[in-house]
Amino acid sequence: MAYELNKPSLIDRERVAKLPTPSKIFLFISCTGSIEYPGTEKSVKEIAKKLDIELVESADQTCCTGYMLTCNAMNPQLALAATARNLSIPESMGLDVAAFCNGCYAYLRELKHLIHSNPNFHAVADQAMRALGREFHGHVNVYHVQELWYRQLDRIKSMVERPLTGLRIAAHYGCHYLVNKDVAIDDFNYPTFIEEIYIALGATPVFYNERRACCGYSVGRGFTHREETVLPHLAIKMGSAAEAGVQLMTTTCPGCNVALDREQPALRKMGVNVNIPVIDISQLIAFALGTPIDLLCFQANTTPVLPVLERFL
Amino acid sequence: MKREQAGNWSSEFRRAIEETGLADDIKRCMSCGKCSGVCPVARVSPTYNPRQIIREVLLGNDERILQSEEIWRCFWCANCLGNCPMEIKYPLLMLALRYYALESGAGKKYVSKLFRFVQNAYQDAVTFQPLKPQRLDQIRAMRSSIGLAPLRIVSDKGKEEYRKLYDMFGTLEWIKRIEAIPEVPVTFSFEPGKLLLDNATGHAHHNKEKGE
Amino acid sequence: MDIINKDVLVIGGGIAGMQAALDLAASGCQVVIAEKEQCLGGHVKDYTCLFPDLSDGSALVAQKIARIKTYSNITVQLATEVSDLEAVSGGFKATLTNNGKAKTRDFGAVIFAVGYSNFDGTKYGEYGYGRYPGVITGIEFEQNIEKVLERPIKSAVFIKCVGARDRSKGMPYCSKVCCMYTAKQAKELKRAHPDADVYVTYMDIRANFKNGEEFVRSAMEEERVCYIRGRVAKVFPKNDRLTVRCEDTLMGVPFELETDLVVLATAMVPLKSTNALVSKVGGKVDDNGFINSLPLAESSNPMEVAKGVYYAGACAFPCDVRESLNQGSAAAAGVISYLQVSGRP
Repeated sequence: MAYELNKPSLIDRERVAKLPTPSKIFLFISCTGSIEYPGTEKSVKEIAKKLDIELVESADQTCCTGYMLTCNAMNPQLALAATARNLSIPESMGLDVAAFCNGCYAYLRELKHLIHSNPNFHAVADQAMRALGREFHGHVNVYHVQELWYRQLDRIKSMVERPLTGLRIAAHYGCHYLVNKDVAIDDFNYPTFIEEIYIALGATPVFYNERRACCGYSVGRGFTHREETVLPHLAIKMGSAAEAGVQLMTTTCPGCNVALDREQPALRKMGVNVNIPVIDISQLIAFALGTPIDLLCFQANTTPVLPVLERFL
Repeated sequence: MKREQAGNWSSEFRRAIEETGLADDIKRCMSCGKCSGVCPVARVSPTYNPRQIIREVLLGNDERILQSEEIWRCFWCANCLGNCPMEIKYPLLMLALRYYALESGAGKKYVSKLFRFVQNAYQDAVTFQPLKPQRLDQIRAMRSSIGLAPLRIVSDKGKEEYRKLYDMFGTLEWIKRIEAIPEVPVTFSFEPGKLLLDNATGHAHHNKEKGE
Repeated sequence: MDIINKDVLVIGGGIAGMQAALDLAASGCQVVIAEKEQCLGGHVKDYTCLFPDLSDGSALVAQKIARIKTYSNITVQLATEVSDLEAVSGGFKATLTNNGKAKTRDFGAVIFAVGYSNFDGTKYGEYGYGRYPGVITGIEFEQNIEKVLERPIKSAVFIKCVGARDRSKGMPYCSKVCCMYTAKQAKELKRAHPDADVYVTYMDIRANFKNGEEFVRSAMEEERVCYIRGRVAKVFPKNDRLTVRCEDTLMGVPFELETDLVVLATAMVPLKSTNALVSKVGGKVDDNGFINSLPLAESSNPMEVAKGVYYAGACAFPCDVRESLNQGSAAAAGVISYLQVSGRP
């Protein structure tokens, strides 16, 4: 099914051109990412090094609170306040923010938008900032590393040391990056920029029918409705991928990665013949750029990764 | 099926939902059905229908909506929002409806299991930090082996400020209050039905299934 | 030269422009039609079957062209664009460019009949237009009608409101004619392939034309076209065919359908170049880019855009063939009165 890439692309080239090539940017650390897949965090740092981007972290940064907010497990005021607080840190440094989790990215952006578009929500943020002696004016741009990497795709391509020739990869774009239609660089329904990254790395993109299906884990439904809806849904998605001969899948969100990677044993028990390693797009890029394999920490993955990637070492 | 009584519909409910500031765009809905056509939950859960839910909210059918199992099923995959010609932020409507439902005790079982993560975050300002020592050791080992700090620890200042926000907005009290509301059972509120079009013969079959 | 003896410029040689030119010439005016294509007829010359009476659009166009040829006071300039327009005392100066050669002429009045374009279907990533074989637009259906009707199919799905009634990535307005021409195309397809399943997916059915409602009902009742109320959510290739995902909102059930042909009724949209040209002579376009007439109470003729400037046809809003002809005649009437009144001592 390699029918798609010579056809009209919906990538917004103007928006891509406007993305920054920063020399310094604040790295927002994802809770799930740093716990479940430390290799993702490490890969982001390795790629940034190669692209001469200085990543600044702050131990003052807390959880983005988006996940628990959208699970209705906390009152919304806390999420609004925590967002204003978290974003005030890079704002005080004069830096923009890069996230490596679709969730952090979307929730930081959405809560920031709510704060500035709704006077009641703005009041909550103000109250919190005053109490903490902090200031937040909203002068922070939030990016996801996937768009920053794509912005410098030519440079990345020139640095490829392990071309992934013949590797059939499928992209899981997830839901929370592309849905930001005012800034996303590609179409929600027919994105192709990650496939362009694959081609730059020498691999073969695969478009399987359920490529735009959600991972199911987004707002805690993996806790509340795992057997009722999440697993039947994943069975359809991963079954479609397996049928299309996908050898490896990439994600842009540690949450998606947990769902698609760690639920495969349960899917196999349901009769789905799937065994597709799922890694972060940054891990894939870092791998292709020659990062030592140990630093990519594939032992964190449930579905073994090395059997598919070792032939490129 | 019992006939609906329009007199039971509450325009106050509709206004209350719109006034949360999360869902005042639902008035633009044309009931075109693109959301339901693409919804992955609707595919595996026959009574779940986002278009119907919006319609119900617009009519003000609070009883049916708030005690429904259906509003707890949305994944937030945002395929509805991604396709909606009116760009209605349906996931935020779900957020508003779920909060509203919780106030009457409906759906509590779907948030109870998640409260502990929010309560634990009061200590360390991080979500999903495992508590089992074995898992923590595993994570420490992995992270150290690749040159990262063994665990991502928030600074004392960060934790203190985070706690201050919890206290200021009464998050732990909010959780206790919701836990204390007597639980009201949620049920499938919408008519189950599945229409199968047989392409070969062109005949339509009705396949009525209960619930799931 | 008295204004009454000045030439009239008709920009656009589609049916609206041709009708205006004919009515003007019959009244004795000197008319110049500036048409940017290599021939007259605009879009309608490609429509072999017009709703609701199924008459031949290309024959209608041929008839208009034949009548134009009988008037020595109509000058047709093909492959000619109006590259500049200026309001001057006593009328207008227009620069007509043909093959790189520009010539400026004086006119007493101008009629904008520049017509329309179609919404770009590729913007709907969910429908795969331009990517999946078997997905075409309504315009392509008309322009390739023989080939389309020839191809054996077991099933076809028409999708209405593509690029219309969409505040997200399309135009917010209703494109007026799609409900009718989709019903017509569905009927044509059913007649060519009586055993095929032909579906029309819709949000509404707007058949506000003479015999329009009866026409659409006959598609449903006699030809047995299956109308499903629901806006299609997704089209994708599967098993060498196309799969369509939609909800039947009247039944309240989402479903999947395998089909061979998907036809997108894309919205009629204004030409981007219109705004620049019409504003040069005091005209305005609306937020969507369509020409605005003067408020009705301010003008003596409903086609009036500015002093001496009139419009006719789809450049002001989507309309059908009969309406374009109506407006062409109305614009001609407006120009004739204007020239007479302005020319009086």
